[in-house]
Amino acid sequence: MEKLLELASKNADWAEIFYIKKEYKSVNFKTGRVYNIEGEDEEGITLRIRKNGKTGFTSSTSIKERENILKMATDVLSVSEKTPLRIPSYKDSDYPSVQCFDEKLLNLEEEELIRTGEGMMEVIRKNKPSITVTAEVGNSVSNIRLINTSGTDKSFKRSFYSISLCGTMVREDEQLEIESSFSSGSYVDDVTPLARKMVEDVTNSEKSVTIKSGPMPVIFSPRGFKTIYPPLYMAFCGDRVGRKVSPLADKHGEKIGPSFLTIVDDNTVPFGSLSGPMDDEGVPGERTALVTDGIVKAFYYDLRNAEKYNTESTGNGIKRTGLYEGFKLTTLPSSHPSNFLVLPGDKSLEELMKTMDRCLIVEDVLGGGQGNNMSGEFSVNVMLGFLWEKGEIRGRVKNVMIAGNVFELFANLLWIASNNTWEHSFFGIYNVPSMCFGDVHIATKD
Amino acid sequence: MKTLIEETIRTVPADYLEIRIERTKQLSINFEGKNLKSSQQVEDYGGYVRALVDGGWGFKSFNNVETLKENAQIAVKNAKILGKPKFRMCPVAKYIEKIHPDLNGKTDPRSISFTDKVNYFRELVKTVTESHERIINARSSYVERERNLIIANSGGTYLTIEDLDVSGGISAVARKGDVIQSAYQSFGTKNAWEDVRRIEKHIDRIVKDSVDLTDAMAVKGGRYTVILDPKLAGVFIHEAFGHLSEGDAVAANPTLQEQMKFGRPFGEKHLNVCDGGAYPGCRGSYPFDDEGTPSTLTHIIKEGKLQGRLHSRETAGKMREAPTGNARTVSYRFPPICRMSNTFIDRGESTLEDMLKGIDYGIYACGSGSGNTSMDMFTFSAEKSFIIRNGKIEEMLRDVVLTGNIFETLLSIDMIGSDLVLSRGGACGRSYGQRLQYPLPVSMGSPHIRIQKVLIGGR
Repeated sequence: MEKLLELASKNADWAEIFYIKKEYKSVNFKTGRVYNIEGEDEEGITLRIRKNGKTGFTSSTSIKERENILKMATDVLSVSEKTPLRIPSYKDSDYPSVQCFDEKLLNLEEEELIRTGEGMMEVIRKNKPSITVTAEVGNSVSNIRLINTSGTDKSFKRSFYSISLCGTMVREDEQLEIESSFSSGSYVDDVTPLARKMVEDVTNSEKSVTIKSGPMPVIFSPRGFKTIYPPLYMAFCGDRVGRKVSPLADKHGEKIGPSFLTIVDDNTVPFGSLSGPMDDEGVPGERTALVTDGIVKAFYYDLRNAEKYNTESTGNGIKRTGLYEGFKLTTLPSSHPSNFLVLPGDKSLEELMKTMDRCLIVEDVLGGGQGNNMSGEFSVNVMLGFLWEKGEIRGRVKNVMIAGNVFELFANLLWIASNNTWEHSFFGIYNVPSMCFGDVHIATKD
Repeated sequence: MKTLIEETIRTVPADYLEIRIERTKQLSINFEGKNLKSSQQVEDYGGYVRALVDGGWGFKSFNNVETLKENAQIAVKNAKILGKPKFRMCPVAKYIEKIHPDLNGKTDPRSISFTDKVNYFRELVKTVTESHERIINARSSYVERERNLIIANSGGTYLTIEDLDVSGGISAVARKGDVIQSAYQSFGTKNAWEDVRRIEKHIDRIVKDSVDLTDAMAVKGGRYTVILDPKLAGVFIHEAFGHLSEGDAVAANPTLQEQMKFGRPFGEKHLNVCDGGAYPGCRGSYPFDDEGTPSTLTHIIKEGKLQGRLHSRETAGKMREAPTGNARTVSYRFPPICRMSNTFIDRGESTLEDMLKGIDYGIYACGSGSGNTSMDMFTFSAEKSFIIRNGKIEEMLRDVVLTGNIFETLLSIDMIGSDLVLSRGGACGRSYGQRLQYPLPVSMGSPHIRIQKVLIGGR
């Protein structure tokens, strides 16, 4: 790395190298039985260079081919335009100490992953033998290092433990897939609650109920939050705000929800999925309050957009591309959320549910991210949703669509429960509680 | 490399061993407004070994290809931890071939210089940006991927494949007050810069659509008779039936096998649905899949009845059905799984005019946003839509998301047009545990189709 940086610095005004070495292993289950063991060793670097205000960028997994790597970056630089970039310069003491590595995950053997998976299978087999289950139990350890010619040299290790469970229920002309997943930066002893939750979902789905079109209060569980996550996180993106393509573009300092609504982006949370001392361009991690007491307080930025819009990076320069992709080595860092959190309320979900007369509980949806996200809109099929009436779940609702605008919803936020959990969806990873919104538009076929 | 691959296959014992070595060079150009947002060139070199021993699979991917043999031993060791129940992969003949892109008389996109490509998109995006006062942003993307691939297995297959895939698109974003709308046109090709340049013909349309959409009404939720244009009907069939035809879900689930028995009616007699890498000239066209099985063209639904599934060698073997050449992977990071290639509804006999007749109040939904599937349920969104009133296409609607269920919606297709078109710019994603195998190049298409009583979300 040092050699490449030295080589690059001779040809550029500034240079940065990001290095990652990741070891990932997982055990997959199909039809309730262990199916395969996978291992993945990934090692690669990216090189970003600056010359005369222009940027060159490349990545490679053949890290010893230094001349070629530099040539690719220089080629890119030669076709580039002048773009802003706030040149970072951080000392080791600028970085927060963040818990993001669990020694236990380093030494986790395949056999233990198998036992974990079988524990979940056992719970489901005992309670719901007709459900076909697939699952993945995996863990990874990444070594990350970033060096640049403005003096930054920071390395850290990040561990990751993830479990996903998918149950398929097939009946006469009815198929239902229930998915739940969990991820953490640290090892978790007992993951059977995930399986028990699936059993509960299946039980609740055994009876179907119909509802009529019209407005109704809707509760999004932490899992159901993925309905509103894409339009929500996009609206706080500094780049979108700057280009005025965010519905929050002119709303800084304005109230968008009740005083109990607080939303933060925070890469310093212990063992969050994207926790670490820095982001993917060497900026120290920090907690950014996006919404405090219902008022829009900040947006999130990477170095490029920080310079462009004359502000500071919030440690959100992240290698991620579109809506559906996670970390991608081959991508230039840009403004993305790190760990996205909606802070918990004071009361438990059980206590709050008692106050509800009739509402729709949304556990999972199909088509998240598919509406007009840019405008804050969503329109989804409620894949797993339950009707709550008079103190109990009456059954599963089918063929129901809900639609609306996230910010109209927040203006009508009734309560936030205290049941935060980490949720893992393709749109990102977040920690949120159950939230109840007033009249949400429901369309049904009945 | 060949010596190492052959030695590994010869000396590492397994019931089946498969090796993939892949070197990808990717060039991409992204404009945002008048500025070049990013351009990059990247290289990715790595491989995987997949081993089957006594019914258990071990898979190992790596970047250091020199360690192929050691990784093969790890894959075998892991496969042995599992084992049982044993199954037989469907046998496929061995193929030793070299495959190159078919550039026959066309302009190789790689022959256009980096600078010329950047300038080309700069001009296009500038045109979009300056074309109307409501246009607040324009974006373009261009991704050129060149891949050199070796697929070898213990059955004696050794394929050397040079593959080119170019994709991207241009979008226009318009704003009026709080309403932000966009319109998009994609492109995709396996060989020709001429295919990329066809995007020029769509510039006026995307500007007009995005601007018009800011004046359009939001749709009111409910049930409607809808006509889908070929582009959206292609997304519909991909989501509505393509995903459920992927053989692995069915192979793993006996109850689902009962439900998805060949011969079961899913639509009226006029409905024919096909998929196949052997369908020529599309993004999802290929001679061999990623297990080295020759591609085919499969009738998934013939005359309304279920007739085929998309198989890997494993699922074909387990279900005792013929292999279809649908085992595909996005890269050496994942094992191949059952995927679509080019999926389409075949031609019928109706015209758009016939379909419009008899609709008092309905929706004409056009262009593709995106789609999602979970088992029998699916959703898909239109880029723009129109109200149909008394058989006439009238005012524009925005934000139309449609949903359905395979047991009802396909049966509700009452008319199929004769104007089949396949898209060129599709990318499909399929979840693989907590990761997503995305983007896989696919094409999808259909003629115009009419469906009764489709549920649409809205206020």
